[in-house]
Amino acid sequence: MTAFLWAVVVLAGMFLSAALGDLVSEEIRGWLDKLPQAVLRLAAGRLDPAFRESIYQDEWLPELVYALRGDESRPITRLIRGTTFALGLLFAARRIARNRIPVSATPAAAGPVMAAAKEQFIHHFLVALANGEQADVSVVLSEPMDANAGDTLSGLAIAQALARRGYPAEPTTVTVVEVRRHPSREARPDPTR
Amino acid sequence: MGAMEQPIQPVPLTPKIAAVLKIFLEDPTKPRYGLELMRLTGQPSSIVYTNLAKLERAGYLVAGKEDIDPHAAGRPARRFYRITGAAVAVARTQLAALSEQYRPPVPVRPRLAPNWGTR
Repeated sequence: MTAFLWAVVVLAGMFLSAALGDLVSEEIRGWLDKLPQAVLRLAAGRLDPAFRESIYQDEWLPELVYALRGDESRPITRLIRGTTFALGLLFAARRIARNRIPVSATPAAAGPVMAAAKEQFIHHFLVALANGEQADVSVVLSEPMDANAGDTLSGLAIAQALARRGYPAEPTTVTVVEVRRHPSREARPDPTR
Repeated sequence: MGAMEQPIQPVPLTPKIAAVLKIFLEDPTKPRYGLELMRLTGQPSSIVYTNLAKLERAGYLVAGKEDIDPHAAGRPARRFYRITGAAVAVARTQLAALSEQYRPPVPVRPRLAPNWGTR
């Protein structure tokens, strides 16, 4: 009788541990699947807000989802592939965003103040826009921006207009054809120098 | 619909950029994806996506969105890149120049003296 009871207990224990093992592995698999996406979200956090949507939502995330779907039956491969992909982007996020910034100003039109440091200036300018700052310059853009020539737009307004147009994802880029200092800021030192 | 192509601003070719451009030139009409380029070139995401951004900004590539129904496919549409018509010629010229630059010199064979072997 005692032997029979022991056999029942051992059998029940085996079933229980098998079921628990499945549950635990399922839980771990669920968490591991979230790891690449968490790393990718970290990478997105390193992007300028103006480019975050177009880079993270339109490119990185769809690529990661696609990469992970290909190896549904192999969780470890999926984890390694997804995490490697996301880690690479985490390290390169700022460099990628920097290379997305359009630099197409004409040096002649930019004037003597900007000509020497055109690229650097426009980079700082767009980063300032991305951070929602009020721009200290007036800008003439080649794309319609719901504004008349000569209007002074706030940095936020320009950034929002660019975002509405899906910029910079669209191939038709907005070209900064002229960047002028706002008259009231004429006396200020050039922040890019 | 013909999206307006921006003028090309030639990018200095590094071997890694050259590897990416070479794939685009294999079939200039074919859209390419970042993941696909990673697989074909063996380059990590950090390099591939940086170079794609660089090439897009310089006017070599235009980006587009995959034409799928995300609900039906169960995943979001991916972003693809295609080489522009103007960039094909520029890239071919640059790749040829790069190839010429790395081509090993033809080894000079020692000329045999006319009476060699007659002694």
